[in-house]
Amino acid sequence: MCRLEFTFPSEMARVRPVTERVVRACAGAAEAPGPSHEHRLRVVVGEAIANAVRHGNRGVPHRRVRVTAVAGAGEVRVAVRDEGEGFDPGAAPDPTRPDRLRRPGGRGLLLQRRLADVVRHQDGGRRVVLVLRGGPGSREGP
Amino acid sequence: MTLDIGHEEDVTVVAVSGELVVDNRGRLKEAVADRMEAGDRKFIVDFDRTSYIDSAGLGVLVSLAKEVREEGGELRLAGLGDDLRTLFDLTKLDTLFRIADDRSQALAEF
Repeated sequence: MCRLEFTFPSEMARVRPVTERVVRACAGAAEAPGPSHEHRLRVVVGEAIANAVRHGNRGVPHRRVRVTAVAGAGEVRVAVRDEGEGFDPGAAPDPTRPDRLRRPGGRGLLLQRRLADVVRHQDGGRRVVLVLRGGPGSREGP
Repeated sequence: MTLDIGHEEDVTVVAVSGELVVDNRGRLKEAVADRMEAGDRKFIVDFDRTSYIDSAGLGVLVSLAKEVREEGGELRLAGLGDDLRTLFDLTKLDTLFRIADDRSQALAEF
């Protein structure tokens, strides 16, 4: 069982270091640890933090990002909160659509949804809770 | 991230070591742009020694492929391990890029 908590300014340079601290502390706590599980966790957490910094807080440094991670009982649960205006996750366009496939951005949310077992947006999109268990999954929580 | 740029006849091979992420994606873009400026048109990006690509890294590959294509060239990918290959499958970028198992195969097919 481990629990981590970080609060930091909205700077993209923070994304990878914070992500790696979560991965190193939590990757072994799910039922099926290993490179693939670790990779899923790295992508899901990294994309959620990057979205909070870049899209949620729009890179405004005085707006903070808060990350909490709890690992144990065969799962890793990570929450990422920003201080932005929020967004409607249901309105995010599908980046795999033929007319959007050649666009450079817009894939972070899709990767979270495809690689986490649960993705649950709260507080008008300012908070996302991600759950990874051992197996693959891709469902949006209630 | 370290970029190792080499040439095999008329093909430019860019080997990416480490992570291709939001913080360093611009370096890959500059490296390919420099080679395009020098007249190169066939590119292979070799990910055999790449540990991680984030969505910004995927995005720069999409942009580069477009820029190379607009100059009459092509950018292909090689050496993606299972984890990284999954990212291309999930995003359907595997339909946008020609992806070889390794550098040798990519060179043979170019």
